[in-house]
Amino acid sequence: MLGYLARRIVLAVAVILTVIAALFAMMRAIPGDPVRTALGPRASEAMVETYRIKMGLDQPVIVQIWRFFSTILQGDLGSDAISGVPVARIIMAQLPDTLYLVLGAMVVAVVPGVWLGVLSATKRGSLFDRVTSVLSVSVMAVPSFVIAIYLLLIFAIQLSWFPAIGAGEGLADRLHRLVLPSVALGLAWIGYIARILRASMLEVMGENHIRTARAFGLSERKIMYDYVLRIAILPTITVLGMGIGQMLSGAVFAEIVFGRPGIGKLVYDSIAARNYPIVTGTLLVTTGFFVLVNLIADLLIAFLDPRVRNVVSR
Amino acid sequence: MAKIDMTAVSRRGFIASTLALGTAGLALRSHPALAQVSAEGGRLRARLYADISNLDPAFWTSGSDALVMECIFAYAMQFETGTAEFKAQPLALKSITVIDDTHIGFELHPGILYSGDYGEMTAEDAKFSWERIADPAVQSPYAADWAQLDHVEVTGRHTGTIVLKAPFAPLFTTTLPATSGIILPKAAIEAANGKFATEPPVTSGPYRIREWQPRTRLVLEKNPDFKLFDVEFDELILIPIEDPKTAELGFEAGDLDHAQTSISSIPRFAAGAPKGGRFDQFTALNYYWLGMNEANADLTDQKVRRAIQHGIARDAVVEAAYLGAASPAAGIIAPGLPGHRAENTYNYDPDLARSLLAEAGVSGLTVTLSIQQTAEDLAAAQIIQALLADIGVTVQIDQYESGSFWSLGIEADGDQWKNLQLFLFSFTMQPDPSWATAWFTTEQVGIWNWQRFSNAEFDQLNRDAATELDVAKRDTMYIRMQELMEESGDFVFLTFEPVGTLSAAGVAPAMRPDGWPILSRFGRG
Repeated sequence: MLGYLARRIVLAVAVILTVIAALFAMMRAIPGDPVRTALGPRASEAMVETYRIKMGLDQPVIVQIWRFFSTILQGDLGSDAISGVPVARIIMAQLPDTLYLVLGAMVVAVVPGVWLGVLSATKRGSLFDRVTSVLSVSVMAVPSFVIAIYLLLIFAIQLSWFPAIGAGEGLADRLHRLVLPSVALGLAWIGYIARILRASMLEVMGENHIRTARAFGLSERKIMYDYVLRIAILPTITVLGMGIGQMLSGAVFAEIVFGRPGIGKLVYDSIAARNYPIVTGTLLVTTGFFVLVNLIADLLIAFLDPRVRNVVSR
Repeated sequence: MAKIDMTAVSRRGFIASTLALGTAGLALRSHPALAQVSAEGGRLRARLYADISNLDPAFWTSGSDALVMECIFAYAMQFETGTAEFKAQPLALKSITVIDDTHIGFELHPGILYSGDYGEMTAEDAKFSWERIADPAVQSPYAADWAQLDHVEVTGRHTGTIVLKAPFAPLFTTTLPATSGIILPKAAIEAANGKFATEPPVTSGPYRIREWQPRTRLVLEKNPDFKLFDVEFDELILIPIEDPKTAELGFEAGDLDHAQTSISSIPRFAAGAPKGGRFDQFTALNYYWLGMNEANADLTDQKVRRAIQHGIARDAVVEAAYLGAASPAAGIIAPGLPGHRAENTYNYDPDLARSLLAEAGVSGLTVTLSIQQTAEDLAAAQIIQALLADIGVTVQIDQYESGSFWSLGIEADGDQWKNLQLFLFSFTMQPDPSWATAWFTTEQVGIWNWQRFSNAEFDQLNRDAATELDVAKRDTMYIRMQELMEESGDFVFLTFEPVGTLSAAGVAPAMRPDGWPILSRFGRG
């Protein structure tokens, strides 16, 4: 197991380095001068040149990549060349709000998704199963920003149940402002999780050890939750691991529509402004987070599934 | 040599100065109603279209920075609000005395206190601050605001003389009433190693920064030491919201007290503001036009460019882009400023356009129209596409995200400028016509002059008009410059962009004529 963990960590680091290097090169391949964008039209050529040197943009891309990684190894993500604010400080100010949002969306997605998936599987072919199936596919087909706008119009403006914008202050206010963005981001995932779990459960329910459990007279509830769900949930965990990445990228819509601070909007704005230090720093953090979540998902699967555990141990 | 004290210094007022007016009373007079409501305190929650990035008067970068600087620094002068024309009033300055064209005397209000231990604002501070921006070694992007500054003479603790190398018309219109007129103590700037960004080492304005959460909110609290005018709200909570539609929803849900709307929502809000609030519409100084790159092989023949000018019905384009909220323009200088041009020369005439193309021997012409990814640009481009199709010109619309778009015509960014043909452009400016024309000189070719328009008469007029103090003469000069622009065939002037603002019930917004909010002057109403 330790060997498996070590291999996965090495792989994770390789993925992060590859992604950052690729994005670093791609950012510099697209047109747009970060110095002029940042300084505005009135900046003199001398000032543009000074900032170009200050930002290291006068160097070849390979040198810029080397400098970037060597400063990272020293624990420094650099500074925004214009405001002078350390990139790490900017990211750390934004990251919690995105993590809260993703966490909220996960709760919105997982709790009803698992419940619907289990019920659909146990009531296979029933009206409930069919209605759930239709609703799942329907919700999955609607983009989250459309859901966000309707949630705002109905629950913030018409009914005034929730605030429309901002992240709030204090725990209660923050939670209150988290509800609509979380629902907007997580709603489509309810359908995904319900459909995947239903299919997985039906497959497991047909296996020999479940029939054996029934033959031993175990209660249906015990069979479902202790035997079927424990195995059937594994594909869902894998999907959720991947889903974190999609939610991180999807968070940008929720953050823009709900006027929330966050990593998604930070990256979006920074790309538009060609603010390279922030873009690369943020992508490093989000890629690292994504890789970490998938690593945890893999380890969790290995822990939950003896077959996988035995394979990785060998 | 007459001495002229100036209180309300508008462009026209300045140039025609013949009266000496007292100032202290005007600047310090408090309105009884304001004083009463001020005691009640309260918060004002307003939208910033972007987060602050640099609050140093020598290096600020965005309108959001300027909006906040107006709250935390006592400007030398400040624009009046609620007026149809731009008028600047002395603020930190008690009086301004035009000694002659190149010598401007000034006196500061005594007792303006800086935060921290930096004491009282003095004429030495004014000398340091203004000469700092003008100093080439500082490399301020705003050095041009003090382009003609020779030096500042300090004649007393609160008095001094601005000595210019040549007369400089924008001094009273866009230098002293804006960020370049801000006065800071030398000790504070030196303590910050010569410059600062988002954490000012000192403040002097009606508000001071209480809390800044990057990209989340900026909280300003009333500065109890500020005495130049009564401040209504105890707290300003400024929330960066890039998307105007989000701001509108925030306003409608009661999360904001003031916000600028999207252009497309102007007709809706003009019909009625939500929740008992008020909607105001302004004409911004921003000018919007179609540019043509005369260096592009397909557009080098002026007849072809002229045909395109005649092929575009500006009113139809503006109607489509701004949904009836704006009117066609005949130039780049907004109404109310010297040089505003009322009549266009080359108007919509598709028959003439077709005959010009025939004269040029051009048929089946296909051109690209480069635009940004905005609803306004796309709507305008589609109308232009349809109109030019009618004269036999096929238009291919290329949409770019902003970062890519703004490099299309810049030579330093590569050779893509050679392929640039038609483009829709919008520039913002300050309330002096020199800001509008500065980008179309020969010097700017390949930088911001993407038309590559080059005209010696224009260049000379641009230089002369900046030092001409006679408003009537400036008016004529700037109109002539716009005529030259249109005659070149490189420009189709479209409009000045409309601005819509929403204010909550009970909030009395204080707005410049162009829809720019002076948040520190907001009241209850």
